[in-house]
Amino acid sequence: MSIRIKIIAIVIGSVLALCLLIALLSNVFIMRSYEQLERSYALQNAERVQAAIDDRLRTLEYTVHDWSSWTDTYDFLGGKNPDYVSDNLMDSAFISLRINLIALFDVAGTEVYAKYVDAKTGMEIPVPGQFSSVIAPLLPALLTSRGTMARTGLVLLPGSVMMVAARPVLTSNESGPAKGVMVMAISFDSAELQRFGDMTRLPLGMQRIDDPALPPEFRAVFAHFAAGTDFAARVIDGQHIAGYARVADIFGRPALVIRAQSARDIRANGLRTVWYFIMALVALSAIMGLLLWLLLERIFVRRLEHLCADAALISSHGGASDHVLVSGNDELSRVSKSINEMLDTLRHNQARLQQAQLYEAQGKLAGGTAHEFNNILAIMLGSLELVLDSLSEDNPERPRLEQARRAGERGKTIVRQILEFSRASRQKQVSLSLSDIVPRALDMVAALFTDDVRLVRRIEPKTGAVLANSTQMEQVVINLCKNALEAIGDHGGEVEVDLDDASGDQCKDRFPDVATGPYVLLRVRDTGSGIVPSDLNQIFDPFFTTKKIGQGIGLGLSVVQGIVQQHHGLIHVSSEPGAGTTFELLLPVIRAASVQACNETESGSSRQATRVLLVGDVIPPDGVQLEALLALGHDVATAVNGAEALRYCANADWRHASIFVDGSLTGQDVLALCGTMHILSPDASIVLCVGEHHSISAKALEAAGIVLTVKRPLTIRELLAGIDRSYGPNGSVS
Amino acid sequence: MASVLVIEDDPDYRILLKDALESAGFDVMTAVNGSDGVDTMARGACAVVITDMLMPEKEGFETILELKRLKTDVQIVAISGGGRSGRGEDLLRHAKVFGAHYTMAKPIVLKDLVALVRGLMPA
Repeated sequence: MSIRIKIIAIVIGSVLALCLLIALLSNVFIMRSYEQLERSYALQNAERVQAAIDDRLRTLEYTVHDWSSWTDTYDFLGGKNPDYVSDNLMDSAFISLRINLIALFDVAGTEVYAKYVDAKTGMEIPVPGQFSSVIAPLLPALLTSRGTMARTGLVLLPGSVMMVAARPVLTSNESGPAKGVMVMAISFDSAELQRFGDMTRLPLGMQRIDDPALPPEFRAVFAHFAAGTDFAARVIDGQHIAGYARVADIFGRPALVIRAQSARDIRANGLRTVWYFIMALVALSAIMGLLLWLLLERIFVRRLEHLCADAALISSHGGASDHVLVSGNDELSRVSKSINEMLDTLRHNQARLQQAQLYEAQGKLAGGTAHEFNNILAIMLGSLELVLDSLSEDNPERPRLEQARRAGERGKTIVRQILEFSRASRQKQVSLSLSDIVPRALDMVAALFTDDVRLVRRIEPKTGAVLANSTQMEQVVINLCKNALEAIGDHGGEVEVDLDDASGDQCKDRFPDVATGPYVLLRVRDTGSGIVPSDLNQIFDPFFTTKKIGQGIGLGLSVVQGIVQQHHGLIHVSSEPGAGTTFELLLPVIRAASVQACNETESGSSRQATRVLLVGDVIPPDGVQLEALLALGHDVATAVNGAEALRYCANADWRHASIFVDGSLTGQDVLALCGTMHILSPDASIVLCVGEHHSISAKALEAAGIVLTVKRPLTIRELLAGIDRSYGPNGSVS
Repeated sequence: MASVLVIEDDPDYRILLKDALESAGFDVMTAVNGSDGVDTMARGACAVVITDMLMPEKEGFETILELKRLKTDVQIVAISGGGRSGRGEDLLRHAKVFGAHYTMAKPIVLKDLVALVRGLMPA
């Protein structure tokens, strides 16, 4: 999955999640507060109903007060006003007072008068039974209260509910003692309820608590009435909520539950609000998400894509100077820069490796064919020699044959140069001072200096010790001097050879890669024709020459460079066409401790004697091979089987032995044996002698410590080559 | 007449050496390789042997040592054009250790070889 898709997924995912979370939370919190609001409104409605009922009761009480504190009523109860009823308590009075019942009780609590008028018809109907008996408990207190007390409240009768107000009957002056109690009542029926509903603008419902067939709704509501409050609110369904008021009767006992229902507008409003909010949230989130994605795309994804594409292009078919694009100033640009640096380094190393491989291949080719050419030249030159000997001095064929011979001689020189160039790199190096070598080499070339060329020597007598091969060093001096002489040509001039100690820091201008430390500097300067700048890059290349055909094949300087590299040194050339050329060589000075080791090695390697262990049948028992090894001073031991061989390996003296193992040793896993020998003597070199073909992989050979495989039977030459392997490149025993 | 044994696997060069030495008056026997050379020596000893170093069947080192076994005072001249494993000089250096008195690197000047053989012949 690409990064772009990942980023898109992350952006969308997080925006969605955020949206969802906010929506959820807001839903919960907003709706909760709205629902609390509607609850409190429902409760308020219930309270409002209660207040309405209370208000009605109060009005009733005022009415009763009017009539009970009236001398006419007082006298009636005193037995003195017989026309009281007909004068005052006609049906129309009930209707105008808006009450249904008037009752009068005497001081004994006996009902003296009671009349009930039906509000609908306006006509008298019988008083509900048990009215008096239900009211009776109130009377005593009223009678003895001396006129100050009134009792109002609800009264539950078997078939109806009455709003009741009762007062002691007194004179118009409010003086007593009370002659009785007057009670007025309103029937709390559905019409009355409706009136309450109209007043409070709420649809109301009423339920007697003592109703045996209590609907389940109300039973559930009763559970809601917390101790101390007479109001509750309850959600009925999605559209309706109700507030409930528990109304007590005149005795204080719970009598009724009034339900005030209302529509859940508030909640609907809340839902709408939340919905709009969520829509806005989603829209904004989408926009923000888009912006976020665009930003990320621009800052990261696109650049990453470019980098990816560039890198893929370079890796599949990039040219030698392709780089990835670097943009911006952050980690991405740093990665791009690093990639470019890596590319450059890799390409540089690759070029050097290719060049090294090319040289190696050229060398191998040259070396392999050189000896063939020696044989060919031997035949040709030998034949020419004999023919020329048989011809007289004035024979006309002589000149042509002489020409052929000269050509052959030239070929001989060239083959020698090629062999020098392709020489095996493992030339033994010892600790020496170039101050001893350079003068000797200069003496060798002194003969080539004609009178008009001056050789100037500035050799510091005791320069620092370097690890070098004396013959190769002589070769270097000789080749450089020969080049100098050729550059000077016939014009006369000067060749100056300097040898002195130097420090790496001093030479950094010409050798930028040089490490700090002591070196020995060899300088060969000529006043010859110089080298043109375009040729300077190539002068160390093998077979590069500016000489004409027949004057040299251009190996001299590449030989010099090869030798300098094997000595871990550096070479530098500077030239001015027409003025001259200077070659400078730096060789690292070796430290005292390694000097000691080298000197020991020198004495050891000059003996070139090794311990040689022959395991199994590697040489014919009566052959001359053993004689040859002994003649060279080697210490030879033979082992007939693996066990004997291992005993030698365990011996510290045989640490650096050359071991030749017969691959067909019977009853032996030869590879395992070699591996064990390698572990016991890691510095010994193991040569495996095999039959016609062997199918052991190179990895297996390496793992067993085998450095060489040779076909049986071994020749002396092969034995010597195998022994030679145990010497490392510096002549030290490896 | 004293005999010279030429051991050389290259036929053209073998004939060349034979002609050069016979022209100088020597009685020359030839062998095509080291084994042939040792057998020829066993049948009739020669005073001087000229041998190449790289040959099939039996190489130069072995040939020199075995010749020395057959006739301890045989005078051996080793010649070589070099080989894959080293320059001629390296092979010739070892040849001297094994008993070759003189070594020459190919291509050799025939006159020099003739002079050398003359000098090695017993008086």
